[in-house]
Amino acid sequence: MLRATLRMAILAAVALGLATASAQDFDWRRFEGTSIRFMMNQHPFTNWLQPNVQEFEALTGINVTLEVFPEDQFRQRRILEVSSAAPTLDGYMVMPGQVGAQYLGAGWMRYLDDFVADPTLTNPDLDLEDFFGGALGTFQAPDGLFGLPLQIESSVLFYRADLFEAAGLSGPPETMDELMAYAAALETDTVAGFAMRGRGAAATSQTVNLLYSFGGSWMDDAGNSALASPESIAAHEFYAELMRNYGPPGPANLHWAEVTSLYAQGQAAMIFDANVFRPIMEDPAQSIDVVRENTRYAPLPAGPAGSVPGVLVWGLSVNHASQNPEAAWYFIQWALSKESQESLLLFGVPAARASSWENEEFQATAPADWIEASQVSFERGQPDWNPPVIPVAEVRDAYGQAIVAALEGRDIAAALQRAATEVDQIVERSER
Amino acid sequence: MKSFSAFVDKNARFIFPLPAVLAILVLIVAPVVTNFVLSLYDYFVGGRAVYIGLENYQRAFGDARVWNGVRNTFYFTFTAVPLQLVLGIAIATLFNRDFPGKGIARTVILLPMVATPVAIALIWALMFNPSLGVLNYFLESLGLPRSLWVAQSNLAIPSLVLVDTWQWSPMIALILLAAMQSVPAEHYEAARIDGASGWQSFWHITIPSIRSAIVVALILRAVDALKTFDIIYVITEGGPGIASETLNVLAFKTGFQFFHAGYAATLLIFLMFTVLGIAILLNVIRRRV
Repeated sequence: MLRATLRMAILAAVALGLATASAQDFDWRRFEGTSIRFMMNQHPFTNWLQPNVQEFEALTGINVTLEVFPEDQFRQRRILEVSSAAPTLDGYMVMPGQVGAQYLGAGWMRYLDDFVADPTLTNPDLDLEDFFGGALGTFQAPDGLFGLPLQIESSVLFYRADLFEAAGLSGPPETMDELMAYAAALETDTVAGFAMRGRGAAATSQTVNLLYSFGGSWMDDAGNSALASPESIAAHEFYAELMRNYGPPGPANLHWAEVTSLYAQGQAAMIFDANVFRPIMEDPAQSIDVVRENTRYAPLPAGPAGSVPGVLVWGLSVNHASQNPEAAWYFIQWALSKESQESLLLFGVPAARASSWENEEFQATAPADWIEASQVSFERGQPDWNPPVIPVAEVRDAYGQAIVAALEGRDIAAALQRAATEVDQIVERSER
Repeated sequence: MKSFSAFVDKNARFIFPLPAVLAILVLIVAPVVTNFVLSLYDYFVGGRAVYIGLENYQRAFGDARVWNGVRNTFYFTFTAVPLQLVLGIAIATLFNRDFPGKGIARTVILLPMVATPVAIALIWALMFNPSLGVLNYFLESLGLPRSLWVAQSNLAIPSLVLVDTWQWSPMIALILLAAMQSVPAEHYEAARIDGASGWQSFWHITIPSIRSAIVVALILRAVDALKTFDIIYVITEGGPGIASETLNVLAFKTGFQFFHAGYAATLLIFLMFTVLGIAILLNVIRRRV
């Protein structure tokens, strides 16, 4: 009897608990009637978003204004409003690899951890784990989460299966040593064994992949340039040897357009550049037949520190001065939900959620090895494809000169030392 | 109304040039003054602007990259302009005589000058490509070794000079042709009667007669070449490394990529005085000839 009563009491308590919990559940309509304003880059994501916003408005009753500008103006307007703490701007698109250091340093980022921890503000289906490690990592600062990723890009190896076969090579190179040996085996009078960017500042977003994979980094723990570290020197010596011996003529002139067109014209057996250039290799107007038929994809080969590519990530953040940060967070959750990201990926933008990439309709549109190489890179990705400093372009330029020096056969250690000194001066000047 | 027209009549010499004076003030004087003021600041676009007096100038004098820019600017200009002058004289001489198809040829030769510089530069960049470019294809068909063109540091500026020469020799030719056509035919007749050879009448009649036009063409081209931006930026971005980075390209990068507007303004003041100095020098020469 007592036991039965106890059981009843427990059941009642549980039921009550459940009822209370459901009263505190996440409710899409909680901020009905609120108006929010987001500033957007004129980007394929925005093209996808614009016609779909009504869906969010119908779901939540929140009124959304999207302000869209071409990238240059977008960045100027954004810094103007964010730095002046405009309360009417609720959120914006952002690439942490571009301005993360600047915005975090200035205290302009609204951390979202309190929202994520609050079950009444965060959709139980949000599933942060679902975002690729490299993508979410870009938005994780030491002090917390400052946004969510919407798209991710990384660099992969493009290679010609027919040339591999002719040279007696099976499968893609898995280590840097193999990469060098394969490049040597594939090199002929008319076809370069390997090609990647070499054009100074423009090359740094690709050479950084080697830097990471050899155990190097942009900055050391004290915040000084680590470009002259032994790991960095080893990475650049490898790069110079690879490009000078097995690269196309004039490697210091190679931008992505040169690299991809060399490959598309059958003049390079392997290239390493952004995975988003796949359509070039499938386009009959740009690529010759053998390239279209024989292109395969693989992740960056592993160096002494593993295979560590950089990733390029766009995402959405809440403005630190926003008067409606909760409504803005609702919008971000909706815009980057599993359903939204899947729809975005089918729209042609490389979505940042792993689950989206499992979509069968999408898998039918892309080669399996490209999908796999991309996914692997996204998980391993290092967020800082750019130096984590405010004067990004100036630092890339200084580093770029060392890259050109390496490609032209000058003293690599000395060139990197000069670049490191210059980077420190540039950063110091910017902090004055 | 009458008093107004009387006022205009009386002060016509001030009123008539007023629109031009205003335009010059707004379009030339104001930017130069603003630029000078800017050069006294440490101004990071979108960030701080601190008055630092002449510190930017001090830094520029000690900045190896600025001197590299100065060297490249002079190298480019003083290779390109003399080459264009020689070619310009040759073309003008050719067009100064009659031959079938002259009208069409004269139009064709002006095309490089009329085309959009950025479009031209993009095409040249493609032609320079060491692996896929058409220039190396031609070299090979002639049995010559391939060249790296703009992809090799020491060939970058000579390659750019080639583009500039292709583009601007016709302008010199045009100016000199006009001057040649105003040389009285009697001079040549007299020389022929005296037994002068073609070369002699060219050297002793044509050249002295068009001397001042040559200096005018030189001033125009030299000033323009010192400031060349479009073809250099589009084809090499100043590269490889900084091998073809002129003062103008460096100032652009400093201002619009690195966002140091104050320092960029300082570099442009440097460039302005360089251009001004050379223009004045050539002008003095012009007065003498």
